[in-house]
Amino acid sequence: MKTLSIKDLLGRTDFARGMSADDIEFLSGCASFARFSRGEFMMLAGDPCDHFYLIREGKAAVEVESGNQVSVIYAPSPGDIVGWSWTMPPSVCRYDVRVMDSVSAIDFDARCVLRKCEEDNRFGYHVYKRILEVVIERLMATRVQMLDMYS
Amino acid sequence: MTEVNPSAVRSAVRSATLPIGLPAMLPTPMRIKRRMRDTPDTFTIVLDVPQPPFVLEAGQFNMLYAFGVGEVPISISGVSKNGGELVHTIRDVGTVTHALSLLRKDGVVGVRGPYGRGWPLEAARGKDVILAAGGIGLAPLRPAIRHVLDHREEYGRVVILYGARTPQDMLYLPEIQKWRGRLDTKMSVTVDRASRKWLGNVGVITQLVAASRVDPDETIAMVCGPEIMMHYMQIHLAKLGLPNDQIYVSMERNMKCAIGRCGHCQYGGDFICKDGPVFTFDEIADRFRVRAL
Repeated sequence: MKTLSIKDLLGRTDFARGMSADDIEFLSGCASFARFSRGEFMMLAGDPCDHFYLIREGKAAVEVESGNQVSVIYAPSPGDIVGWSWTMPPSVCRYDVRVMDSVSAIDFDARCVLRKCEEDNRFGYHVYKRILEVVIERLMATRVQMLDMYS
Repeated sequence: MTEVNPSAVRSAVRSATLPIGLPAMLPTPMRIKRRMRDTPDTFTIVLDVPQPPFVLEAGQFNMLYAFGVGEVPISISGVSKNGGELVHTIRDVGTVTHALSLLRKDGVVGVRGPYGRGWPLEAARGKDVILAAGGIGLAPLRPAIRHVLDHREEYGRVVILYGARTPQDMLYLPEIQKWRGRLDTKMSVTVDRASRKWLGNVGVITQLVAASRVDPDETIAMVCGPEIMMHYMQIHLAKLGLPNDQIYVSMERNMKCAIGRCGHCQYGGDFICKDGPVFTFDEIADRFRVRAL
């Protein structure tokens, strides 16, 4: 059975849809496979945000601690990008991301991606455009959540 | 002043019959057989139908009368197979619903109905079906979900989506668990916020739409929930490729007579009670989310 490379897998994701094969290959040069077990933290608030993830399998929880209570505000699942604080200084993680259900992900070295974006602004435009799509979608969802629409 | 003869009025009211033969304005007393608390502000009553079967279309509503207090429109959230038990899930939000919440087993409720146009179960036959409910919107949609699952072979891919504020606000948990356990149906649940104990989705219901994997040309979507939720659902269903005439929503307004006479629930050129409550989005797109309408 043929094992798919990161480049092949990345090429099949919504995140890379519309990207040229060359750009996908360029981006996959900063990527590796990662696995996280249930209960493990993919990110911790306050830590440098030097990685971001594209979830392939499993589920995570974006958590906020308020007082003694931890609330889950979003649960990223397959196809979701986790982490975008790396795009702007100070590149510090804003939330804890805990694994709810063993996660298999494509792990991007954010510093490597940033460096490539600086070197090749056209490539950088495509990467940032995709991250912006994720941010817009998440912002819209958060606004709807804030409406407390089921009340 | 002309003297009114009460018996003549009663007779006139009785003669204003619905097609199914029930008196249009006279409630039938029904005894509460069971009462369950669903969430802190929501409860379900099971009524004993005196002359079964109670025949209805999924998505219709009844006018429930709390004697001496008033009447409210409440969606029918279930009926037993023999039509002898009628189920209503009610949120305790106003004077009448609060009076209904105080009734216990053997308490008596006045029932008029069923009224209105229900879900397009016939039109959906042979097609993929998305059934999406938000909050207490699961109650009016449940009879449609039950029908589709009871006649599963008549439908294509079936996707049930349910969004609630928190896990504690979810209705019909045991039944949801059964639906989730079915191999022939995709059911996704999400909540707006949760504690660590919750292992399911957290986020808005619209985020579940993209994973529906239906054939947009051959799909009927039935959506029930607060208008703001239906608004965003329509946007996401349209993104999926569903035209507005394949998206059905259940509207809610201040229904009083329930037979299109009093005008309280007028919605543009329609009466929600008579022409709805279920409409295709196409039928109401020009009025939907228009302020003060």
